[in-house]
Amino acid sequence: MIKPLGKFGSNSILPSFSQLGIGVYMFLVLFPLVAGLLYALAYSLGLVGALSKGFTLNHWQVVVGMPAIWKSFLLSLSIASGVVLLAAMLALATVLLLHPYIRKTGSLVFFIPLGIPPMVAAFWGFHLLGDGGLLARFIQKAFPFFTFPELTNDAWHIGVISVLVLLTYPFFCLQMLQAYHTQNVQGLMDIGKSLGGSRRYVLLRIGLPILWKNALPSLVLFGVFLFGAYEVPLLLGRQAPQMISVLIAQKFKRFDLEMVARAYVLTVLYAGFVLAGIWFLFKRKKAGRGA
Amino acid sequence: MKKWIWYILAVLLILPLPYLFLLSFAAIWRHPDLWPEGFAIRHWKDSLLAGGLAESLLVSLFISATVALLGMILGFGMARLIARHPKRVLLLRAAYLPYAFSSVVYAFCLQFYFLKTGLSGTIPGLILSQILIVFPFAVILFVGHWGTRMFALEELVQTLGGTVWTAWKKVVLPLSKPILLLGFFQTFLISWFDYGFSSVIGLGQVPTLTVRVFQYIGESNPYFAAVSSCLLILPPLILLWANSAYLRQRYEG
Repeated sequence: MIKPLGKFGSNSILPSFSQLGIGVYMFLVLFPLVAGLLYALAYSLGLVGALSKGFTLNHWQVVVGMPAIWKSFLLSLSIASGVVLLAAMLALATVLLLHPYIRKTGSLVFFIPLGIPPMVAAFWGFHLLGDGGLLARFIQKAFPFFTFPELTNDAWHIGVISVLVLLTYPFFCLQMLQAYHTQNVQGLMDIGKSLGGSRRYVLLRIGLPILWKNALPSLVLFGVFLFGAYEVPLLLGRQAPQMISVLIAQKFKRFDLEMVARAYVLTVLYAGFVLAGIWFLFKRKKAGRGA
Repeated sequence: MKKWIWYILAVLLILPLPYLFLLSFAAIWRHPDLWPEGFAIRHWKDSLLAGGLAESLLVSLFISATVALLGMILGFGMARLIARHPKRVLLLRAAYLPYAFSSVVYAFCLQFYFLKTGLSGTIPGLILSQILIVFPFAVILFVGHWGTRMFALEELVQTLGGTVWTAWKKVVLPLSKPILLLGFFQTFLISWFDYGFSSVIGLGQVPTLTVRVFQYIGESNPYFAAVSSCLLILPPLILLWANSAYLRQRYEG
């Protein structure tokens, strides 16, 4: 345990200074979130707001009974987990198979997409994958009779998934590249080969598990972030079903105050999902430390 | 074969930059054409001068720089306090919560309080709202820096007769320069990329660049949207270049 320093030492100043600091920390970190969620809960239960008539579960009953809401949650969960898995698989393949080439050219290429805001990435995705986009133009020039498929605002959310992968994949690549060096993955794979393991065997039994285990906390955290993705599905997603953040924002923007109450119900439900994700992340970390 | 896969991948990752610059300088780029019909600086001139994009650039730069500076200072100091706090793990876990929330949903949760305090639609209000996510992030980023070694060095200066101020000026800050730079860079980007708080707390009255991009896309004005996208991409690239140049200079002599 590190002892406190100098004049902030064991005299009476440290406890008050420390308590004040932690108080400021809680005020900035937890207080706004808790206050916001309490207001959302109170509004959703009819306790506050312009149409407040006292405690009611009506808004909750309406929202919980709407299949579209659960479709939105399911869609957000599917897209978030799909994007994380796809980006992680691509990053694993890139790091394990293309590592010598990345070392030659440098990893700067992975930093560039990290400098693109989600709003701009969505705009780029629209221009690349849209009906009149760059890809469609190339394909129509090469194959004039080919009908370009719908890749934006499409039923399979290909546009949303592609752009979210573009934003996530470089980060995973950088993280796995770092783990590749710090965990000496190449050295361990070389040892595996010298002991008679085939190239495929050492990749699957040594390289892949080390990188995967190392990246797992980030994958879960990114899954939580992507669950609430907003700008990309706003521009490239469908009107129905929508990802949960887009649906919540749309309900808040309606002039109908009943919709605002439903938006607050959704906010509380969304908060529950995020808290569950964070709890899962920390539980895994704790289990990892205990093992 | 693998070499070509890597080259194609690299091109795909970099492609948004040349495309957006090309579109912003295109005089006109009609549907089936693969290349624009000539180039002009018209869109840059019109959007920056008449379209108010120059004002948006300055507003965004001011907000992001202020948020990054405040977030960095507050986060660095608070990380020191938390690093040796008995409830360190619990306090750090709390820091993940606001950051993990979708910014637009979090902004709607806070909207009532910002409206009541008159901070909605103002630059100070937007700065305050962004600090609520930047500050916990900065704490998470800086807390690892405050290890036993840093405290021991600080203590050493004081054992040798130095004051707290001397320890910070001569030891802590010079040693923390790279992580502070990285912290500034990262927190600047969080604020710079933000659309959720800008649209909900800013109420569209604080014309940040992300708000402008969305506005131009809504108006079907791809050229102005491309110009504002380029303006959004440029500072992160400059910061990235400066950061890598600084680290190269530092570690390669």
